[in-house]
Amino acid sequence: MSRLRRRVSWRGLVITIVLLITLAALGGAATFTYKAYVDASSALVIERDRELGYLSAARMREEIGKYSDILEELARSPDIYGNDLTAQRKKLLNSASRLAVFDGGVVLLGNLGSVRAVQPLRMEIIGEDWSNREYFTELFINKTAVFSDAVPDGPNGSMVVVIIVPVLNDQQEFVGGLAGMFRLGETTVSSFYASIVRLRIGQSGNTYVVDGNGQILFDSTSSKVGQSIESLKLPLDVLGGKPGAGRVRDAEGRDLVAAYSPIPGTDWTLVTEDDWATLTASIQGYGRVLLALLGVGMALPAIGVALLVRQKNAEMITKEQDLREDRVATLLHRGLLPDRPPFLAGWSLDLHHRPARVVGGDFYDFLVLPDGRLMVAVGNVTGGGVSAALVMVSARTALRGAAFRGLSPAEGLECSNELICPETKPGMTVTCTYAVLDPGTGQLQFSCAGEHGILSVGGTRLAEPMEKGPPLGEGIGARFHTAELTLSPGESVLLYSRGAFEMHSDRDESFGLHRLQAAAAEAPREAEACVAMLRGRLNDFESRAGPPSQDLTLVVLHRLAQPRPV
Amino acid sequence: MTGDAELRLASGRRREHGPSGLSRRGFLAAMGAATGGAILAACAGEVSKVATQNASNIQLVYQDWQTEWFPAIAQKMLEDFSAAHPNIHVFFTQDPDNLAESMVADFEAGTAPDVFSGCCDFFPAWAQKGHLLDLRPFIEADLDQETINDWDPAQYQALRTHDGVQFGLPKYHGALALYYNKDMFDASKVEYPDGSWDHEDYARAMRLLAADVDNDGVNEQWGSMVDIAWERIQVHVNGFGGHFVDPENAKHSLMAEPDAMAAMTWVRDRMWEDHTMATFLDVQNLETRQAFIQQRIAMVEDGSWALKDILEGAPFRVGVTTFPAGPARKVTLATTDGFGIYAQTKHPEAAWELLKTLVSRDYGRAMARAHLLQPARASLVEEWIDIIREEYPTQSSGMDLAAFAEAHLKGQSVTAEVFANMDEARRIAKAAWERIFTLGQAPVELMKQVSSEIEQAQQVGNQEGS
Repeated sequence: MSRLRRRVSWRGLVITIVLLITLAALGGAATFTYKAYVDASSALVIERDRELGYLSAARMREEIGKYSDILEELARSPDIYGNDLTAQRKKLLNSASRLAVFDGGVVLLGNLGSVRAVQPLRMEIIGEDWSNREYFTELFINKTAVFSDAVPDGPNGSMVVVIIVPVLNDQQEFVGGLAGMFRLGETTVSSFYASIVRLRIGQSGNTYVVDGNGQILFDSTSSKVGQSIESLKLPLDVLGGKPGAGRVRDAEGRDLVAAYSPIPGTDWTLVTEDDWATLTASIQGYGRVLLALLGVGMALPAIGVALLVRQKNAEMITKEQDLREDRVATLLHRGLLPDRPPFLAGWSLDLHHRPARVVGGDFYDFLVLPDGRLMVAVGNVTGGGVSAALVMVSARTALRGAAFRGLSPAEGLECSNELICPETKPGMTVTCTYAVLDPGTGQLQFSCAGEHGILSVGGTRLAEPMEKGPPLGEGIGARFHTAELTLSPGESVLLYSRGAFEMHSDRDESFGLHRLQAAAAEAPREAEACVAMLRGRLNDFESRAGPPSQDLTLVVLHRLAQPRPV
Repeated sequence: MTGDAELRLASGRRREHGPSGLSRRGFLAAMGAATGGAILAACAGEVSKVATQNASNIQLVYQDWQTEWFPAIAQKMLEDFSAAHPNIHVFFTQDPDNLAESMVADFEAGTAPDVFSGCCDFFPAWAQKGHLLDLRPFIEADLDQETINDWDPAQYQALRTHDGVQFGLPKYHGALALYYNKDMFDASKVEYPDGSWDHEDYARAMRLLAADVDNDGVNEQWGSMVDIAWERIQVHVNGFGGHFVDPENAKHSLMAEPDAMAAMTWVRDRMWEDHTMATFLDVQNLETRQAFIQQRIAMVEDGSWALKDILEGAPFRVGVTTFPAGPARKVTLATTDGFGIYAQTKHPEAAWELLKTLVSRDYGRAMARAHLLQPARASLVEEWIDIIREEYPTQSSGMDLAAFAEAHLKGQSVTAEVFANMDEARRIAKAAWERIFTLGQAPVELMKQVSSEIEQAQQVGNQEGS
């Protein structure tokens, strides 16, 4: 057993080492795949944010362009580009409803930058020279709409952003600028902020609009307007004039993707922050699925191999146990069964025993009794292995004991049954033909337990049918019948086990008692010849597919016509 | 049950049956469960992250009328709102120039305001296209029946689609009435109109008031004038007992039915048969209100929303009475001005909080004070009349201001009838009415063809059913 254990352990060790190497390879591949997936997805997320930032900046330009459109439409009015100050002021007043979007008011500048008209009226700035304003200078040079940085030109010096468009007369000469203003930090009425908010930029973080000086014009938390973008401590070149994006940690330590993009036609920059975890929630979900699948992909073969190894080991142990049991049973069997029939003066006896497996269920016995009679038994124990061999021992011993006590065959079987019954397991029985031969008179007394019997050989007389009892071991109290016949010189009988008539052909047809009777009737009466002939018939009939399925035991008793000299 | 639990169960079973107890099927089932469990476990936790949004700093956009006076009341109201809701920042912006069309573009682009006002036929058209949030869950959770009963049922119902989506709540109550120039009536020795007038009285007075002042064979003064607009024509049709839209089927037109045809014939005859009702050509494209203020017409069919303009602009004594009854019934048009929420807003709860403020009694009072707008709530009508009399004591003296609220209180309000595909119906009708009423080039019988075309248009497109 320890050798077997060693074999199993060695085999398991080899498989474990191979498996570990395989798992290590799989693990490496899984790790590499997962890391590649995470890296690629992260790069995609950042790139996507950069693209979104760029598109959002373009949309924002379009949105704030609506305000320059309003001013440009008004600037095309002759009342505005004409030189009549009263008409200019009246036009602004009459356009008050439309111009109300500019919560910081609207200012009309002359061609040299002097304030000509204001809506709503701010008397204190009328006539002021605003030519030094950067946005006016830029307008003067480029003659196109300008979006200013934060400047203190609003009512009462409040900070505003200015959108200024050129006023051109009908000869397309520059005659001034029309400036609309939006207050910075306005908390309620602000079309400028409304225009940004309604774009719904960003999913899970803050949005900022920063002017050319890095001052925050808008932020989605309404708390950082007027501060410098530097206060956010983003390690990115936000004001570099090019779109970009990166994964950063802000001043508060949050893990973010920050994207920035210049707003076309302005010096402003749009900065968006998105929470990394939220942004990559779906990717992380897929990543976890991938990781889980990779894990399962590694675990499944390992578990599968482990289970198979365990199963194989168990089978090996079971097989080994069976072999050991068979070996013990064979030893018992061989020890019990005589090699050949005894010599009996005036008689020729022959035997054929072929077990279907290593240890067959069939048994036989010969015993010459003190009074010269011969006890012959042919039987079968259902099942196999050591337990069947032990029952066989019990049966043999009981039958021999009955013979020594001079009991008739029926009494012998009844007595044996009483002894065997307590020792047989459920479902285990013993079939048996038990006979006692008086060699001098040729008288043969016999009794059968189960489907065993005696047939006459050579067509002399028919031993069958006879009254048969139940198999031994089925239950206490079984009764048997003793039959008797006398063999004259030259006559023979055959004792057979169940295998003789239950043998199956290739067509799954059983040999049957009728074929056995016919064969026995045709067989020569000489014991050896008879056995040889019956073996031939049975061999011819039996299926060649696989090993023999039935044990077979034949015993022929032949009373010699002329006794041979001893 | 998790994958781990499944695995534990499987391995437990295996131990129970010995070394070879786990069948291949059992093994595969356990592995399948483990794989599924692992995947499920891997997917878990995503929802919570997506749902975790920073609700402490919400920014909303509120859009309303493009008028000079509106930003001031919006500012006051929003400051009060911010004080009550410090985590919600609302930015007010004005309606764009071409509201009906540009809003559709904004809806499609995802850039529409979170909360906005709407009215007329385009407001339900937006709802029909699914751009407006269904307010029913919020109303059920947050509004009491007393508030709902305070609104004109006709107006409240008009802010609901045929399939029951409540897409808006009343903003103010604009009721159509008949303004008249007392000076012109006195000069023509015509009795002032009152609530007992029907269409015959109306037509008779128009005949007496229309005048060819310079005797050139063409009138320079007319009895009245009608805006050639959907609901302004419709209110006449309703008075005649007809409808534009089958109340039972929003895809079925009743525009060519006898009652509707009779009403439109009545209007057209006043314009083109007896020339007692001015067309836009007659008044050089003046708006009806301006034509009245400039005394080109003696009466005008206009609403409570015109009060401030008329009281401030009219250089004559103004009277007002209920809209004249039609041959079938007495009705008055109630506007369908309301507030709605964009279906794609990122903050529906915050938007609802804002909307509740906009339909509050305080906001109703503020609009009444700012521009004499008639409150949507019946319980504020008395206050509203007091505000008018306080602000315009001379001009409003002798004016039956309660006439504006009569239809609301007596259940005579009607609202704009809306087809399933309203955009197309409006386009077809507008073109036909231009020829029938404004230019007088086509008879009212043209409406039979118009009605058929509108019905055909209802079968096209993904519009709301009946």
